[in-house]
Amino acid sequence: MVNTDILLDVQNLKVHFPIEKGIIFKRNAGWIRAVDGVSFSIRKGESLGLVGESGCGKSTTAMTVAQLQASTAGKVFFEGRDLSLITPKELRRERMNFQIVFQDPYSSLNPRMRAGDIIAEPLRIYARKKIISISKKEVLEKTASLMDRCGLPSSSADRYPHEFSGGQRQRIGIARALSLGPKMIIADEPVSALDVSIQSQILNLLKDLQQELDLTFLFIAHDLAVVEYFCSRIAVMYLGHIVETADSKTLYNQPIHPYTRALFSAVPLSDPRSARKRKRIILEGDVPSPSVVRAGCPFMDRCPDVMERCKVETPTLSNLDKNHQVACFLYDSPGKER
Amino acid sequence: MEKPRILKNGIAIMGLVIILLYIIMIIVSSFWLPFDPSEMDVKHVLESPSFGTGHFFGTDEFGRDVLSRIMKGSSVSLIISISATALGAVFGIMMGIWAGFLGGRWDNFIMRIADIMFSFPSLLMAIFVMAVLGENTYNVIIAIGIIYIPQFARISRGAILSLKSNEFIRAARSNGAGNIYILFRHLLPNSMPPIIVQVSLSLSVAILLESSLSFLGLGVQPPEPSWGNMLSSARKVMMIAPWTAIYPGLAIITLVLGFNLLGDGLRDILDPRLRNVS
Repeated sequence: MVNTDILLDVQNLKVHFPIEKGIIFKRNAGWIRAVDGVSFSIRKGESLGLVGESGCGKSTTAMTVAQLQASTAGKVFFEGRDLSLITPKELRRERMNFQIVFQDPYSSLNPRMRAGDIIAEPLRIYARKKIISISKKEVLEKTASLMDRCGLPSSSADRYPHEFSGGQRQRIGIARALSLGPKMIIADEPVSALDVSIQSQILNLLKDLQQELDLTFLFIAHDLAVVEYFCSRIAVMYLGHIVETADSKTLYNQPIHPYTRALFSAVPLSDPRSARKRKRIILEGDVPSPSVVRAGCPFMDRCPDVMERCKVETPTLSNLDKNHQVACFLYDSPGKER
Repeated sequence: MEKPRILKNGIAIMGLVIILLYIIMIIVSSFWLPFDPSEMDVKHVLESPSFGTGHFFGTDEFGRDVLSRIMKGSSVSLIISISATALGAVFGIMMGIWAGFLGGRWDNFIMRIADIMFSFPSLLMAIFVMAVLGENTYNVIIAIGIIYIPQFARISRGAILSLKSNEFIRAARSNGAGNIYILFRHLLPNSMPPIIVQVSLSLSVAILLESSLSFLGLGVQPPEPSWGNMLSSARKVMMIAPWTAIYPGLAIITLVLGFNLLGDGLRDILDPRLRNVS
């Protein structure tokens, strides 16, 4: 299934938000560096999981990739096209290829629209803009088949979002994201607002859809179990930087970066015996403010293995082997290629 | 065809019935009145209400029939209240959605203007506008409308602001929707409930404002009857002929009540979350 064609390529993406002070005359008091030089690429059919704690910039990365948030620097290539260079008209056409599944199934659906209209809305917009040609009848048929595919009873097209449960609402969101036939789905924590029992249903639905429609996923999550189940490759983010990326098996079995190790040691294990044997790495301190500009590794003040070099230089992602990159000086011996 | 939702809501029906009664009264009064409302009758000055004379609500200090004057005044009051609210709502909502949707400098600029308008007490503002424009019925509409503009602007801006951060707006954007589409399809329908409640309140407050202005002699000018100037002239004879004040007052109260009930009912009806709840 995996081929070498790269669908999405993100290069040195930066998103900085201004901190404004003053009531009438705003002045800029600094920047929040939400995303600070993130690079990754996703091959066709692959699903990349982006994990990290709250506020590390993973959702901002997703929204910027989806062109819903302006980037400060860096480039996003979709199928080789630089999305920042194309005209708004071309961007609208391009949007058909990457759709978003949102985190909150309650605020992501307009409470005044019926489920059927929500799912059909993208089709209707694109038909009105004459980007796709589809008749009214075809829209209804397409909507019905999408609802059926996403496990929604066809009788529910006339119902309003509040009449659905959280899981069903997320299914509506998924059906909407699929309506334009996208190549890539950007899933921004699609299951974190749901019950555990519903989470697995939604994950299985997404997984089935991925196989059926040959979808590529950028999957944002903070739940490592979810990511390990769903994703073929994982990138770990900390304070706006990617610190480690590897395929999910490798990363799960041998996390290397001190932050990743700490993160994975916090995953609850179902077997109490192995849980007792495992050494938990407890990180000291808090995530530093993303508004402070400083030299060195972003993780330096919480890292158990911090060295002098970490406080002066910023490590970049370097290849450990073909499928495993890490940004840490511990593994940056001169013999390895960078 | 299923029963319209408004008929399932008792409060709204009550309001609607009251308003309908007034509308019927206006229609009737346009071609038939018990007496000529401006005809003076010195023989029957300050007559108490009675069936015998045909003056059901009595007569005022010039012998004019109070019921006829209330009926004639109802059309003036209702027209002023509806047009003034429409004027304020149209301009206020335009300002509000502009400020809320664009944000930033525009928001600051528009809302500071609204704040300046807000800082005048509404009656004082109305008196000021009337003094500048001159005293006639149309200027009452403009004066009350101007008072309403910042109120509607603030309410619609608040509604737009709270909706703008919802994920379904982002979803629409990622589905290729443009600004105008998002505004009219997603933002405005969802900001309707507070605006409709404001409309119904404004309709009733407009009646009170019109009455206040007319009471102060700045609104509808005699001899043309309005509920406010009826009250104003009744003030002098209120102690000996209370009906001259009670009936116009009752007319104001019931119409205000009708609008408020309708507004409350509409708010419930327009919220889809309260639909189909058994």
